[in-house]
Formats: sequence, C-alpha cells, structure tokens
Amino acid sequence: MLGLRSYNAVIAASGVVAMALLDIRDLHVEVRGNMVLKGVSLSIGDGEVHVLMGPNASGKTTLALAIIGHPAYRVVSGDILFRGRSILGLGVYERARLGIAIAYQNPPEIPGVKLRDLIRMAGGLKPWSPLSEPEERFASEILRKVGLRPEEFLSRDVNVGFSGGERKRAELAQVIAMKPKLMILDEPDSGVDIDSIRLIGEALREAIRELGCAVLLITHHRHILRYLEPDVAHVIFGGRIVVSGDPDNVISRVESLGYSGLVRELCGS
Amino acid sequence: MDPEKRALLREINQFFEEYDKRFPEWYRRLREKARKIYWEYEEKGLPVGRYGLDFDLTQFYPHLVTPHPPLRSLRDLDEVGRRMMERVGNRPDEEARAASHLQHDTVTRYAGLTELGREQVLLMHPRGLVVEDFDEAICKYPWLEKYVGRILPVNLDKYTAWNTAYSRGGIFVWVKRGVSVKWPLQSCFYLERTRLGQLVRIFIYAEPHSEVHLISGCVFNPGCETALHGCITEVYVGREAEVTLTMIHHFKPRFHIRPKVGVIVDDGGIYRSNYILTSPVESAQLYPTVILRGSGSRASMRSLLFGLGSSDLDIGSAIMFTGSGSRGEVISRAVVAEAARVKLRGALKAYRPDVRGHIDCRALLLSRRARAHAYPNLKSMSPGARLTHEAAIGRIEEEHILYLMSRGLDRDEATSMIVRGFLDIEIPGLPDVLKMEIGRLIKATAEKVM
Repeated sequence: MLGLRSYNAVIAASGVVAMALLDIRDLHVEVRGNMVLKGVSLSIGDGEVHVLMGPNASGKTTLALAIIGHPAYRVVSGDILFRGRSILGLGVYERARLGIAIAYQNPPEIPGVKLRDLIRMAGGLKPWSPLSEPEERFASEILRKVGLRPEEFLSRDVNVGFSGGERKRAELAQVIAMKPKLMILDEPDSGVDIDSIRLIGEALREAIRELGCAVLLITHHRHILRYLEPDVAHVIFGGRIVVSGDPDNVISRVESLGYSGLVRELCGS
Repeated sequence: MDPEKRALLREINQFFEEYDKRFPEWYRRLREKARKIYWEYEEKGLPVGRYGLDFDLTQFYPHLVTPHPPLRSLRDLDEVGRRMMERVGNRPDEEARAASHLQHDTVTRYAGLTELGREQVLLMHPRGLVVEDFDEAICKYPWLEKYVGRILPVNLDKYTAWNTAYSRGGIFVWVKRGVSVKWPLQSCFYLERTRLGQLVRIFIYAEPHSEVHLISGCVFNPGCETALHGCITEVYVGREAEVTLTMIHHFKPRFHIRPKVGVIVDDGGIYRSNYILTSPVESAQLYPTVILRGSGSRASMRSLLFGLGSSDLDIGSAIMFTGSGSRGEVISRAVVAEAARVKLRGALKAYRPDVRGHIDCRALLLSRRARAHAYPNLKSMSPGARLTHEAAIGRIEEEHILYLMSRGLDRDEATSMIVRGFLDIEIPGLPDVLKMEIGRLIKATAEKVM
C-alpha cells in the first residue's frame, strides 16, 4: 500500500505535475516589523493530513494566519497558491469562501453574538429565526457532532464563559459548518484534558472522512495524531521548515532529541 | 421676553383657556399653574432643563388645530400611516394586541380594546381594563386628581411645565385589581403637522396583583418637516403588580423629543421599561425616574439607542430605592455613528440598607466624529446598600471582525452581526411577542445602519 505521500513522490518522480491544493512557495512573512517566516515552502494535496510541529515562537501560528490572510501578517515575498492560483490578493473572507477554514488557538470572546448564528452564517445560512424555522437544526446537528449539548450552547455567546475544551470544540463546529477544502487547526488539543482530546479527535476524524478535506494540523502532542493518521509531519524552527517526512519517524526524533537537538543533528554538529 | 414671543404665548394661552373648559376645576388649576411657571421661565430667561440640548420651545406650536376624524378601525388609516406605525412596533391589524390607541397629531382617533383583548380580559373581568383618551379620562374619573401630576413636579424643568400646560390627548390605561393582561397594549403617537408641538400624556394605573404591557410607538409622517414630541408619562404600579412600558421612537433630523417619565412602585411590584430610539433626531432627552417605595419592589430599565446623523442624545434613567429590599438595574446600550453625540446617564440613590442596584452603560463608536459620554451616578444614604456600576465606551475590535470574516462573512456582515450582538440584551420576564418584536426592530435598524 502506498501512503499518500509516497503516491505524490511517485507522481513527482514520474514527471507528471500534480496540482496541489495548497502550495506555499518560499514564503517570507513579517509581523509588526519582525521577519517571522524566512522562506517556508509547503505543499498539501487534496485530502492529505499534514502535521506541523515546532517550538514556541517558531512561526507555526504565523504560517496559519498568513494562509488565511490576516492583515497583520504581511507577506514580504513568496507566494501562496490555492488550487494553482495565488490567493495573496484576496481578503480574509474571500479565502474563507474559497474553502480555507481555521480553528484558532485562542479565539476571542464576542459578547452578544450567538454561537448558533455564527455556525449558521459560517455554513452560508441566515441567523436563526423562530418564525422561519421553529426548531434550529443545522447548528444543533453540528454541535452534537463535536460533543456540545445544543440545548445549552445554541444560545450562548461565542466563547463567553467557555472552558478551554468547549472553546476548541466550538471552533471545530464552526470549521465543520464551513465545509472547507482545507482545515487549518491551530493546536486544537492544547489546554484540553485527555477525554476532550479523544472527543475532538474522533469528531475531527469523522468530519475529515465526511468532507474529504485536507488538514494542516499544528500540535505539540502525539495524542491527537492517533485519530488523524497524518501523511506527513513537518518541523518548523526559526521560521523555516527544517524537516519533513514520515510522521512516526519525525515525531520520534523530536521526542527523543528535542527541537534544538534535532536541528543540531541536522546541521551535523 | 421679546414682545413677539409674549404675543405668541398669549395666543397659545387663549386657545388653551377655551380648550380647558371641558376639564374639571382641579385639572384646570394644575394647567394654569404650569402656564405661570413656564411664563416665568421665559420671562426670567432661566436656564432650563437639567440635561440635554436647550432650544426654544416656542418655535413649535402646541395650539395648531389638526382636524382628524375618528377611525372605526386602525385598518382605515391611510397606507403611509399604517406603514409608519409598524416601524414602531404597532400592528395596524391589531394581531396579538389586547388594546390599541392611535393619536394623530393632537387628536385621539382610535382607542379601545381589540377583539382579542375583549375575549381574554373582559370575559373574566368586565371593566377589568380601561384604555381611553387621556383628556376624556380626566373628565370622567375624579380620582385622578390624587394621581395626575403627582410624581413629576410641574416645575421640574421648562419642558415639564410646557407639557403640563399645553398637552392635548394621550393614553389612559387602568388595569383593575387582579387582572392580568397577557397580550401587550399598543399606542401610537403619529405626527404629521409640521411645526406642531405634539404634547401628550401617558397614564398607567395598575392596581394590586395586575399585569400590563404597553408598547408606545411615536412616529412621523414623511411629510412632516420639523416638530416637537413631548410626553409626560406617569405610572403607578400597585402591590405585586407588573408593568412593562416599551417606548419606541422613530423620527428624523430636525425633530426634538422630550419624554418625561415618573414611576412609583409599591410592595412587591415590578416595573420594566425599554426605551428604543431607532432614527436620527435633532435632540432627545429623557431621564425616567422610578421610585421603588414598596418593600421588595423591582425595576429594570433598558435603553437601546442608535445615535445617527447629528443627533444630540441625553438619555438616562434613575432609580430611588426607598423601600426595604428593593432592587433595580439600569442598562443602556448606544451605537453611535456619524457625527452623533450621546450622553448616557444612570443614577441610583439608596435610602435603605438592604437594597441593591446596578448600572451598566456601554457605547459603541462607529465613526471618528461620534462622541459618547457615560455618567454613572451612585448615591447611598445607607452603609448596607450595595450599588455598583460599569461603563465602557469603545469601538468594535478589529480582531472580532477578522474572526467573523475568517468564517466567510464579509466586513459589513461581520460588523452588523457584532452590533446586533452588542444591542442584544436579555430582557427577562418579557412576553415572547414583545421580545420578538424588539429583536426584529433591532435587527432591521442595525442592518439599515450598516
């Protein structure tokens, strides 16, 4: 059996140019005057699951936010192609409508905006109105999928008073509602207990199977990978991707050597 | 006072001397007193109201004759009128309403219970609910002498004096003991005549153990250029009674609004008010004051304001806690756009040790020229009383907009969603019809603002 990655390698070797879903080329990104990404290249094919690891402040979140088009993350050089076309000129919501969805690591609290309505808007529907739809169905179903009780969470304000795990699941619900082609998950497992990780992992696996979307998963932990069976793992260090390869192999090396040890080994010192 | 103004005031007084002939002696005396006070205000050039933009009241004429014939049904009102009514939460088809009242300029054209109201209330309690024109009620019920003009002093400011002296029409609501009117009543004050000073009164008397909800909408006819809408509202909430007053104002630039509201709540009574302003105006000032004199009485006052155009808004609420164990809250939300200026006031005064009150004022600025001030004011005469306040003025956070945009909403959709959320304050205990009505209004206005 060929894994997706080896499949890509075969195609590449055979000289046929496969168009990747997301193709990042030598990306340099500046945040508040600091160059954070210094030449990142990454290619994600349809339906592939990629894991991105790296120490704190190495540029993981910066990469995620540059892909979705956050204006504070300025692309200095390089390009981001989505289905073969550059998306650098597109705004945040245009990229979202193309099919790029992100689950934030630290989503903001927005008082007054109901989770129900945001999930519906993300899914391209109108906010709920009891007149047109006596019982809300769309958001309820998605909330159930991510393990949030609809009776309680439908009319809660977005992230206000949510626990860490509830926030992550609410993020996931919004991402699923968008039916994306590419999910960017920024540490969906940080600050979450082991039971919640299982719940999130299972919900994710189910959603990915259903939507057939590609995933860029940023994480520090191995637990959640059990549910997702990643195709490739990348290690980002100091704004560059230093290793890409078979997830088991890469993660084991990170775990045994640590990030700086891994980098030292790569540099041959 | 310049001779021209003096002549005008004389003319107005003359008109009202004739008009007042229908009233009982006590009410005529009250009005004469108010005229004297107003004359003095003008004569001495006193600086007037405590708050709000000052303007010359005599540029609006309270004595214009506006002949509008009575209506047999609200459906008989012309289409423009019906459409405008709907904008302020009134329903011309009278669906889901227990009673209706319509005042066109200075004339009450329609007042009475709807079919639903008759079925629900009168079947069980004949004469349990009375909805009439205010001036008629004054002539009919002598007991009003003890209540009308007793909460707000006539000399509170020049507007109160002017309004007391020259009011015509208004609505009188009397709910008898133990009668609970589940469906809201509606009243509409419809302004058509340019330069008219539409001065009215709202009077609600809720006997013990009764319940009533009034939606009072004030709106203009598109042909009306400039006008003044003044109103004196007095509400008596009896023991264990429950009253909700929802005031919705929709006018346009060059309109002045001066509603005065005074409320007294007895033991265990509940008073709730919602004030909603959905349009630009020249100026608006109100400062409804509730006296919680009964033990265990409660008040909850909410204002939702859209400061648009170059509106000058000075809007506050005050609660006085004189009954033991009374509780109250003042919640204000203002969305301030364009070059509007908004002052949000809230005052809590505690005279008992075991009372609790809270003020929450927030303003959201949507433009560089918008101005907002918040003045929370706490006064405690008793060390045990717990009064708190929070106030915040700011703009929409860019992070929040970006967050929603990354879900596929464009900037306008995201902004409007946040604004709607900002104005979405829970109003516990409100009938569902009313809740939905208010939600619909907010949504429509927020969308229009964007």
